[in-house]
Amino acid sequence: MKNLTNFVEKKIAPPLIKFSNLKYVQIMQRSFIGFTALLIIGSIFLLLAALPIPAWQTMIQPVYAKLAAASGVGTTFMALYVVAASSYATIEWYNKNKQEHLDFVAPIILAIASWFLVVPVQTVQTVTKAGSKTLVPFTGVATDYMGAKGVFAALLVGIITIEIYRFVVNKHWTIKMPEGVPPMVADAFLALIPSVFVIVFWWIISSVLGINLPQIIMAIFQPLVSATDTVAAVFTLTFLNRILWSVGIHGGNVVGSVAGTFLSVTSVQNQTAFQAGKALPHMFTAIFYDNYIWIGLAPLAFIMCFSKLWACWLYQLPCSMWVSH
Amino acid sequence: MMIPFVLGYMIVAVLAVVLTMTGVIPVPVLSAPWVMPAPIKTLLATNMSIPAMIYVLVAWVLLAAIFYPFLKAIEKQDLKEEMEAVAEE
Repeated sequence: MKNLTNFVEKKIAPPLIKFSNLKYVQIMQRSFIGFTALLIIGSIFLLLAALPIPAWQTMIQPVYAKLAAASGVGTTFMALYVVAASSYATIEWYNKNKQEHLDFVAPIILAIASWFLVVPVQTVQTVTKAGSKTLVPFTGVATDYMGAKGVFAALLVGIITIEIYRFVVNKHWTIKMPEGVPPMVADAFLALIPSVFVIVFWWIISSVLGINLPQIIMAIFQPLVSATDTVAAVFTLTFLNRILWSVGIHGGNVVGSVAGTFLSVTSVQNQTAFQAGKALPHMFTAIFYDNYIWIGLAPLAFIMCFSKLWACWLYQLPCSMWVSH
Repeated sequence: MMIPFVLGYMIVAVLAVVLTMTGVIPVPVLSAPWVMPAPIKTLLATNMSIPAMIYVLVAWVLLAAIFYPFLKAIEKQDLKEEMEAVAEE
């Protein structure tokens, strides 16, 4: 037993911990903040709209479209939220770990604007009213890469934008205003030159060179995403998670830093397909782990009630009622 | 306590994978708040599918069965130590 614990502590845990402490892995982990609540709310709307009880379905028939309208609130524009969150996470990392003092709001808006450069606004001839046949010009952004498909490109755009911004600011290639200028005006001019660098960079990549960045990046990451959807991945991730907990390391965080992004992407792709009424493309997503594998230690708490040690059953009786995770 | 911890969840994972791949329980698709108790959360996440909830309860029983012998072994050891401590007085 001692040998096994030592082996895990010395051979398996350190590389995983070192990996999860890498700068960009930590940033990627923080890029999905503020987003879980939207996923849950969208799921509640979807659940209410799609409840498979016939009596319920006939009852909500008049308001079905209204219920289903809010069901895409998290999934349809996931990449956009990831751009904002990943640029925020990058700035936060640099402010905390390198003691820099980057402003938050201007670079995040810059990152969102760069994202709309990379996924451009297009004017197409299309049908805008359901049922009609006339083609009218319609200007908009294709939602193809605004959802789960564009998440990796969004991470890249958010992080690279902040890196360029920070590089220019640290080299002091900025317009400095004289002393008497109020800070709001001084800040606006300070952000001007780094923003020019960032915008010109993304403009060259997307408009001048015509590279479809989200498509290329999704093609690069597609094998990894598919690999997370296999049975081997389920067993490996479960095993790693439990072994790391057994030696005192937060297994969920470490495994989440390795596979968390891919599991989120597959979950959202499943939800988008479910909303559209199509077949689910993936089987083992983050939601699979959450619902079928991490079913909590309630049984352990429950059987401790039958133990002869009075300490065990005294404390476990109330615990077993509430412990489910 | 490491053995039942790791082994229990591996067996649950095998069961979940086998049952999902053969189609007995559906693929969970909706996000439910993680703080809800497990059977209710599974009901919500699989669009009110009863087989999924039954699976969670069966998996709970399985986990309890796996943990039980190890719990008994630890308890026997603790009781023995307690008896020895009382006997020494």
